[in-house]
This record gives sequence, structure tokens and C-alpha cells, in this order.
Amino acid sequence: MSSNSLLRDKQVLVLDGDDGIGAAVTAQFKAEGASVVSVQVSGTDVVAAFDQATSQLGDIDVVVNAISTWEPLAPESWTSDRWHELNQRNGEVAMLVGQLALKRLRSPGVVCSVSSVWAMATSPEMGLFGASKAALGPITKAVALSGVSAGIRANTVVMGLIDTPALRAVVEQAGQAAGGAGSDNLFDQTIPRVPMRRAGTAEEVANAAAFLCSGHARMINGASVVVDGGFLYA
Amino acid sequence: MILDGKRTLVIGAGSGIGQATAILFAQQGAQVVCADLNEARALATVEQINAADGTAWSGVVDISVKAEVDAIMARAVELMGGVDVLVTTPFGNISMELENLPEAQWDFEHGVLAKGTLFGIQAAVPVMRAQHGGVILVATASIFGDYGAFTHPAVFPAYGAAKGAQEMLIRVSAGQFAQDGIRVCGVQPGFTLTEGSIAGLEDVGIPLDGFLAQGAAGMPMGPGQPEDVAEGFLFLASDYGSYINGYCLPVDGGSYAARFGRLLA
Repeated sequence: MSSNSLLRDKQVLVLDGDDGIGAAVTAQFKAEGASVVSVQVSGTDVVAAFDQATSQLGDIDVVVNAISTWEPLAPESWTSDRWHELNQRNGEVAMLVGQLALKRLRSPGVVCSVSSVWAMATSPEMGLFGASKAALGPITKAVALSGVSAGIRANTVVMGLIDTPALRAVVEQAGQAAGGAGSDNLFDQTIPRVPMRRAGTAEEVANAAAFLCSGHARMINGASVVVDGGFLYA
Repeated sequence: MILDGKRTLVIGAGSGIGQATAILFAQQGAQVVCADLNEARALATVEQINAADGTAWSGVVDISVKAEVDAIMARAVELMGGVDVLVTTPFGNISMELENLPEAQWDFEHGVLAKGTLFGIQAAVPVMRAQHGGVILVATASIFGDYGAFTHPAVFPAYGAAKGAQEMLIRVSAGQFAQDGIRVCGVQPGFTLTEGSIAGLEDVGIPLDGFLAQGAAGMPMGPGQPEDVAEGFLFLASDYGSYINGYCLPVDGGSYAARFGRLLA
């Protein structure tokens, strides 16, 4: 789609994961006029990411947490180690991002976190991942309420079936974790479950995030915006 | 511009959120048919848009009458060659009475909100299906239709029930018509300062000042302006919302979140 300079002059930190969403956010936010520093966070070192963005950009207006650590795992295979790892990368990172955003974003600032429909609905294999992502809802709302006096909004983009190579692989892994033989097209077989009969693109997730981070969304705060083609509600 | 070339019908464009939406859409490049129960108010919105070099026409419609909704849709198609986006925003009186709620008031609320939403969807679907695309947007539940907020949870029985019906119509039609390329979503305003909302409070004996003071804790960013809520419609009508379907977007400054969170996840 064409851009509309929604984020002109905005200085943005993108915490990038490895599932293709962060890369799309970085590209789309630049297309909308933002200056973007994209950082691959090591573990939970969100402070280092903020420091890097501050040194490269100066003041930060917007932070997008696009980190999702995916782990399709049937309940019989759950382990405490996996749970701790997922909580660190999905939950604890979100907590630190929110806390640092309240301290370090300049007003009007915006936090946008990327979550998943598996935080709101589940299958056995996505339950552990979904539980770790479910932390983003209350954390985002808490940051949204705390941020009002400082001029900082916070919202979550809740993504559905999104077509990136990494997310295709997650669906295949979920199929295997469910005891399937594995196939090359489980992702495509899942598409009929989406009312719009197609997967979304990473760009569509990024576009929703771009609008939410723009001044147009000045009164949208504490929302979990579901970007899933109708998978969850329709 | 965000809505360049989009052909839009806004029902409720004479005042408040509908008017602000019509004006914002026109500013963002859309053509807009501004329809309202009050023809003079619809015309005033059109004049404001045209004075700013936008493109708009006026129309009159009672959204609770199916034939009138069909007729305004037909007129919009005639004027613009199709309708890419339908926005409906009308609402009526509100009352806290439940035990002695007059049947006529229940019927009125459901006529405007529930039947009006149904009629809008019924009128839009054939047009949008033939175009292989379109977006239907409804001003829906609001904090009063969900489970309530401020100090009086779920205070308006007929209004709230009819708003709940709207949400279910949105979800059902989002599922049924997605294959035709039609998205259906809602915008959930928080308390928004409009003539209608202020008059509604006065009708039930609540002065605005007292309401805002009492409700402050439930409105983290204060009351909304119609222009703020219009941005939610812009989001969902535009390509920025191209994969959002069957979802109702709160535009409330965090009022839901302040009330323990509607959807915590």
C-alpha cells in the first residue's frame, strides 16, 4: 500500500524478533516517515536496546515490541525450562518495555506490542506459548493507564494467521507436536478456518501498528486490536 | 490521502460522531453521502465538506425503516457508482429504567440500534458483493453496552441490550460475508461529548458536569471528542485495517482498561 507519512518525524525503536513481523514493522514505519532503530534483543536486555536507540536517535517517541518467541509444544512435553524461557522472552520483555517506555519515551509517546490470537484462544500445542503472550494484555493496559499523565499511550496488536516463512514453520511444528506426520502445507490447510479465506501479511500487522502509533489514534489506549481476518470473533 | 477514491455512505452524518466521521473521511479523500434523520443537519455537514473542497451529497433516512435504508443505499450507488464503506452511527434516547421500562422504549432502541444495523448490513451486502469488496462499520457497544463503566455498571438496559445485538450482528456478518470481500467491524466509543450524549444524560437527570466529575476515574484521558472517535472509523475503513474483521475497536482513551479490562489478553 502507499504510505501517508503517518509517522513523519517520529523516532522509533523496534524490538525485532525472528518471525518476520519486526522486519515488516521496521520497513513500514520507515515508509511512513519514521526514523527507526531496529534491535535484536539478547535475552531480556531491553535496557541495551533503549540505550542503543537513544544514542542513535536521541529522544524516542515510539517503541514497538515485535518480539515473539514461538514454541509449539504439547502439554506432555512442557518443561519448567521451556516455560521460564517463554516467560522471559514474551512476558518479561513486555514488562521491561512498558516500564522503560514510561520512563524514557518523550510525550506524546506510544508503546505498541505484538501479541497473538493464541493468547486469547488456544489449541493444546499453543497453550504454553499463548499463556506467555497473555501477559501482554494486562501489562499493556497497566502501562496505558499509568502513561496517561506522562502522555504515553499503549496498545497491543493481536495477530492471527500471518504468512511469513517463520510463522509457516510454527504451524508445521504445531502440527507435528499434535502428533501429525508433518506436511508441507498445514499452513495452507489452516486458511479455511479464517473467515477472510487468506492468511494476513506481515505488512498488514505492521500497518495496523503504524496507525496505532500515529497521532490519528490519539484516543485509542489500552486496546487489544485483533488483526486476524475474523479468526477469533467472526 | 488515506481514503482516496473511497465511496462512502455515512448514516447519522448530521451530528456528533457521524458528522465528524463524514468530515474526516472527506478530508482523507473519500466521497461521502451524508445521510441523517434530520435533513437540514445532513445538508449542513455537506456544506461544510464542500466548502473545504471535499465531495459530498446529503440524504435523509430513518435507519429503523428498512425501505428507507434501502433507498439511501440505492441513492448512494446512483451518486457515486458504488459504496465502498458504510458507516452507521445513529442512537436514540437512553434510560436507566428496567423494572418499569416501557415496551415502546425497548422497541425504539432496538429499532434504531439493532434493526438499523441489520438493515444497513442488508442494504450494503449486495452492493459490496457485486463490487467484490467493501467495509461495513457500526458505532457500537460503547462502555454502556458492554458491561458498563464509571460508577454505574451496565446502566442502560434497552440501549445496552440493543448495543449487544449490534455486536453479534457484526460478528455474524463478518463471518458470513468475508468470502465476498466484505469486512464488518465496530467502533466502541468511550463517553464522547456530542449533542446526543449530553442530551441523553439530561434526559435521565444527570448534569454533564456532575457526570464528568463522578466518572473521571473511569475516563483516564477524559471524555472523547467526536473527531477522536472518527479516527477509529478511519482506521478500520482504510488499508491500515485490511486484515481486521469482526472486531470492535474501543476508542475510549483507556476507559475499558480502567474498568478492570474488557479483554485482559
